[in-house]
Amino acid sequence: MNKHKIFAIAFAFAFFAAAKAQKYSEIYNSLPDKTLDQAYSILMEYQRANPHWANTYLQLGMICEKKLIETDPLRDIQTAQYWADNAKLFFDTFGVFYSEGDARTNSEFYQNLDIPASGGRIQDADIKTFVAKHQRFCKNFRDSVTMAYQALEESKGYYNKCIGTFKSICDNYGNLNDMLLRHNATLKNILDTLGSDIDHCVEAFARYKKTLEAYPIRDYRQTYEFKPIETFRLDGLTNSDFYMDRFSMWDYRKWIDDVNQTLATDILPLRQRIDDINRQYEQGKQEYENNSPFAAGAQEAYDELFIFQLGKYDNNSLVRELFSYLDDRRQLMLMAHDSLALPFDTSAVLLNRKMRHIYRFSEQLGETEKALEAVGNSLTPDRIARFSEFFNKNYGGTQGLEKYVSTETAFLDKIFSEVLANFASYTRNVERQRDKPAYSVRGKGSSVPLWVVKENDLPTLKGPYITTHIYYNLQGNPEYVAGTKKNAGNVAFVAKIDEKNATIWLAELRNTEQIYNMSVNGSGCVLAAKQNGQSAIVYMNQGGKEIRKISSNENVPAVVDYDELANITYVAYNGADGGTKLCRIDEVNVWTVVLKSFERIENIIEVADGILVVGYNKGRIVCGRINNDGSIGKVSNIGFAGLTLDRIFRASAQDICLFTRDAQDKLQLTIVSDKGEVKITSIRQ
Amino acid sequence: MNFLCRKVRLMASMFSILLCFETYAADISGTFDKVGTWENVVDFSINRSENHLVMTLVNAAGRTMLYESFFSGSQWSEAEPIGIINRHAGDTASVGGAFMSDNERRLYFHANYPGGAGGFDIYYSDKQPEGWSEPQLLDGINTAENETYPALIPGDETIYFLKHQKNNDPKIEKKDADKMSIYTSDRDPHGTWKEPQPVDNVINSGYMQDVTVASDARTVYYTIRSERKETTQMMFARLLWSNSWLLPSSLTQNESGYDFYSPRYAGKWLYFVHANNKKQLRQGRIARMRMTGKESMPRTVVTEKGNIQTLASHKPIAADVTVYNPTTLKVLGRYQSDQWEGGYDLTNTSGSQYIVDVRNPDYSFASYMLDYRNSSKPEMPDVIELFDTVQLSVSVYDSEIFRPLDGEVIAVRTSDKSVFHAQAHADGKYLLALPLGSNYDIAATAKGFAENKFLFKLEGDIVFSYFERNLPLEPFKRDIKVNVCDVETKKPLAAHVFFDNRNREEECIIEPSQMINGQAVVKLRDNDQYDMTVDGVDGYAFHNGIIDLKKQNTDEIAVELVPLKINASLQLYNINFATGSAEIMPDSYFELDRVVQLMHDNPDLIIEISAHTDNVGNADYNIILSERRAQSVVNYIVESGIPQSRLQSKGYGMSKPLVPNDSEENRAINRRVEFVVLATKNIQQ
Repeated sequence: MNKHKIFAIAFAFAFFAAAKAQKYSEIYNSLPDKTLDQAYSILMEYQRANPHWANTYLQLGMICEKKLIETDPLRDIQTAQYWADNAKLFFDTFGVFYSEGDARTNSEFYQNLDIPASGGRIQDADIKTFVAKHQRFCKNFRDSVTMAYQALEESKGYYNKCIGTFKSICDNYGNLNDMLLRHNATLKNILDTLGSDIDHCVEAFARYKKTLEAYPIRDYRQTYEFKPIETFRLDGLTNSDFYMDRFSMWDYRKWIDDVNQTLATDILPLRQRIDDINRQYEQGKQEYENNSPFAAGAQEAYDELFIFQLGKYDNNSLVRELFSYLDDRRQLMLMAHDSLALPFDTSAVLLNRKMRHIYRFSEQLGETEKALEAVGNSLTPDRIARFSEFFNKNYGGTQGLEKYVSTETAFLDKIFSEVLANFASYTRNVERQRDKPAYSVRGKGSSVPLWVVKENDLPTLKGPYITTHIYYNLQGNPEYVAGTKKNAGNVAFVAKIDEKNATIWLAELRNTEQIYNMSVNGSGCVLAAKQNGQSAIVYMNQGGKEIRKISSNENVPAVVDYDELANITYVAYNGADGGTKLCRIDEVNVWTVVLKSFERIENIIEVADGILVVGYNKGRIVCGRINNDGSIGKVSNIGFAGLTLDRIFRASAQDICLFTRDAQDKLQLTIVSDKGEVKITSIRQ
Repeated sequence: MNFLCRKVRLMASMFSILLCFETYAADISGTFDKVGTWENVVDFSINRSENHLVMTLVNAAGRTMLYESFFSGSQWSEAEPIGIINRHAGDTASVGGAFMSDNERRLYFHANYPGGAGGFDIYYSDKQPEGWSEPQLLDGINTAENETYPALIPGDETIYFLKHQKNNDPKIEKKDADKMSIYTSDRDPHGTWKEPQPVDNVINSGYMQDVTVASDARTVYYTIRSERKETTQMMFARLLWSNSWLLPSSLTQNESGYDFYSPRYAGKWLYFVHANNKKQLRQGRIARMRMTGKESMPRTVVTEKGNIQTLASHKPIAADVTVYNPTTLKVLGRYQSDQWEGGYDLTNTSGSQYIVDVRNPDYSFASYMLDYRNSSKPEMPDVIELFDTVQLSVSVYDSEIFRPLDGEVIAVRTSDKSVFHAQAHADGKYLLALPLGSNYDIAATAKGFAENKFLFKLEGDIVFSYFERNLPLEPFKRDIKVNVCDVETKKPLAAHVFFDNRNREEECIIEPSQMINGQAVVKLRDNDQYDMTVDGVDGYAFHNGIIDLKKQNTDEIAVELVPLKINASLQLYNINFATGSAEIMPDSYFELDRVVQLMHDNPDLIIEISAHTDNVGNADYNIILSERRAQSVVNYIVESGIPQSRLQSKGYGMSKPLVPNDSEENRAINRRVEFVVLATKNIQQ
């Protein structure tokens, strides 16, 4: 640029400077009467027109500094930064346009600024010092408020994040126990993040406080206190105003620590224990299926302490229902492994014991099935979710559990079938033993066959007596024997045998074509027979004397039962044309009922206030209750057509066990109540 | 040279913004499109979608009124008068200055209805299904002077308007005395308008004709007529922070001689009114022109739409939606959801973060974050469901055995003691429906258990509508002292005592090691029945009994154990038979199994089972009955695995009563089964 142009510019500046000074004085003099905003406006206007006038910038800089101080920097950081930046700009620009000697030349325009004078009057150096000081002030102020604000903003930002995270936790879990039980890797990460965020919040706030200590900002002196999170889904969800002198923060850190503590001391050990218990049950099942000694299954897997530890967190637990079922199943398997359930015995002494054992087994089976049903009814998503890892790993999750109920039902059926099969083998062994020809020892009566004589036994039969009915006592020994006498016309016999198989007495019954049924009681025996072409009920005492007889014109009396305590006799007549009849007789015939549901009656069992009648109808076993007044109660079909009645065991005053066989000789059990209702059955349709 | 260059650079940095604004202004003459066919438009408001217009039209009498038109895709509809506004005070008032809120749910305008604050005042009307509502005076803004041309930022936190302030200062020229200026006001934290202040003089530098504010809440458009009263200029200014503005600039150059008014942006168009005369009468046509420069356009905003419904019935609900600065919690915008459709719109500046609170005083509270810092589409709930009642599910269970309890759960409101009864809805679960805004004492009771309660606080901000709580109840228990001794010598014995609760799954056990001098204390539940079994003492029989704490007011149980020596007799409890029968009832098995166990534990023991009757019936009958019953018991024991040789049975009939048969109670005592030791290895003196 040549010196002419510089001169022209300098002249223009000088000219303008004179003109500016004159007009500037008006503005300068009006400043005391203006607000800061007004003063700023008019100075900015002047600056637009007169950009080289240095004093404008100094005045503007001071106004910006005052605006900066006026601003609440923590509530309006951008405004504060704006004024600080503007102040810096104006102070810098002042320095650019300030001419040496201006302190003297335009001294009147520096009087409103309280510039300390080093001599008697303000010098250039004084002004520069003054500006430098205010530049430093504005810079430090800006830096410190920025630092403080950033720390506060960071702290609040983390706190807002904590609230959001905590809300999402509350969204996913209905209560604290639910959260603890369903704790997994995902939740752990969320809790770790929450913990980290609250720690950062606290640390950032501490940094903020430290900044305030070094650079106090207005009256800001906030402190906080932690509020405990006591109620899940109520606490921990609301925000806090970090600008209040005293505010509270939810104590997420303590809450997380408490959660982790509970996890470590209670939940994880509980999960481990559940795994261990389940493993023990499964091992027991394996041992059972492998026919192993069944050591694991013999031990009780859990105690009351475990129930307490589980119930503390899961008071409605699927695990408890499952283990309750597994424990019942364990008991069942133990019973199935009992020596009484094995097939290898042949001694008839054990017959009743085995039947008693099977009855107890079936009661246990009923309990086990109920427990399994309870498991099935407890399969809800929330209960499964509380121990999802356990159920997924061991049971295939929800779908697996639903299938599990079916597979376990089949397993229970299998155990039942195995026990019955073993009993069937045993009974066949006993029958084979009993079918072996043997004779009573001749005692006070003649020797009689101690087996039911069949057609093909006749050629080799010793003695005149053909045994058709045998009553075995509790020890499995024959106690009463009845039948016919061969080549004697219409003569039947009944004999009593002692425990050494010797005949105690033998009584012959003349004019008796056949004995159809024999019922034994404490006082002797009662025979259903045909005498002189009529139906006859013959009562014999323990000494072999006939003490009473009831005759009737009915057809063949198929079954007789005598209640010696009540002195009541029940007689069933199976008739093809007249239907099956049942009569109740004490001294006289009290009543006769026709049982249309029965084609043939096989057995009569006394129960409370009535009897149960077991027979057949259209090839199917039927069981029905007859009340004392002759009215017919519940009649139940047992299984399907083709089953045959094997034996009946009177388990108690309220239950009878009906053992039946199918065409494949498979033994089934049905327990019928005294009301005629089927309680348990192994028969599957 | 360097000094000069530095000056130039600084000055350039100061003025670059201004320069860039000034070069933006485009020549308006002949470059615009006409909008609609109306010729008498005074001012207007248009939505961002450019399909909804509310405009002020002037009639021949000079009265101004509001009209509405919609764009169908090809043309604008006929302008329909908004009757409810225009005729609010009859047919004399003038209405104008229409400003539609950003969500188009509220219409602000000025009117000179009688009964206002004086002159023209600012009113608003809300959108309803059937149209606009009756006008409402805007509180806190209007004075006796004229307030016109209202414009509010989205969220209604800041208002701009023209205020006609009479100035009686004689120094002020007449032409300036009636000058309209732009005023602004913000709401305080309570939502009340602060004292309106004029905006900076750099804006209020002439005769203001109108003002509006864009959706970004920062860009203000206005029309100004200079002091020389040439044609109007359309201007814009941008708020930086607080009351700090970027210097205003012209939107266009106007050399046409016609006036242009009411600039506003919609889409990428600048809409305005083009006066159709040169007489400075304010009426003309709506026009628009495309602006290419970006500086005059409002900053990009994002509008999020949401919906608020009631949880129970999914009906729309009016709620206050407040947007906050997440750090300072300064209110940035107040919105309201539409009470008929539940919808609300939030207009925010992208790149920032916000907290959004949703409140209705009678309903719950909702809050969420909108974070645009890293995403242009942050997560936001589509539908917020508010509720006025929470569901509290209380699980009531036994605190020891963790089984559900039948009981009662009530909630008592602490403020007025109103009582709410829970509905039972699953095993042990009770459901309460509790209105918000109060605290409740929740209490659960069940017979035999201590009450448990907790305070449930529903005052304050509630976020979740469903809660679950567990209320375990402690059973009432009684200390029972158990004394065990030898029946003859009274020598204390340390025994195993087992209590099995008949009413629930509970067992209590006293181990021999816990007994001191044959004594121990056990806590049993009031009102429950227990089967008590005492055994485990070598050489002694067991003892069974029933402890009925409902009937017995006892706190001490004395147990005398019978030593297993010859002729020692032990009564068996709970051996029941069917009436008039020797068949054992199943509930007898518990006791009989004890006998079986005793026989197993003492393999040398030989016992007699004896049965006794009362004196009802004849002696012979009772002898037989008791003999049969004794035999039944023996049969059961044999069936349980004890050899017959170790058992004898005997019936004594009524020959050995324990007490006189003079009452049913005594007769029941006499009806008993006992066992007597016949032989044992352990001979006791």
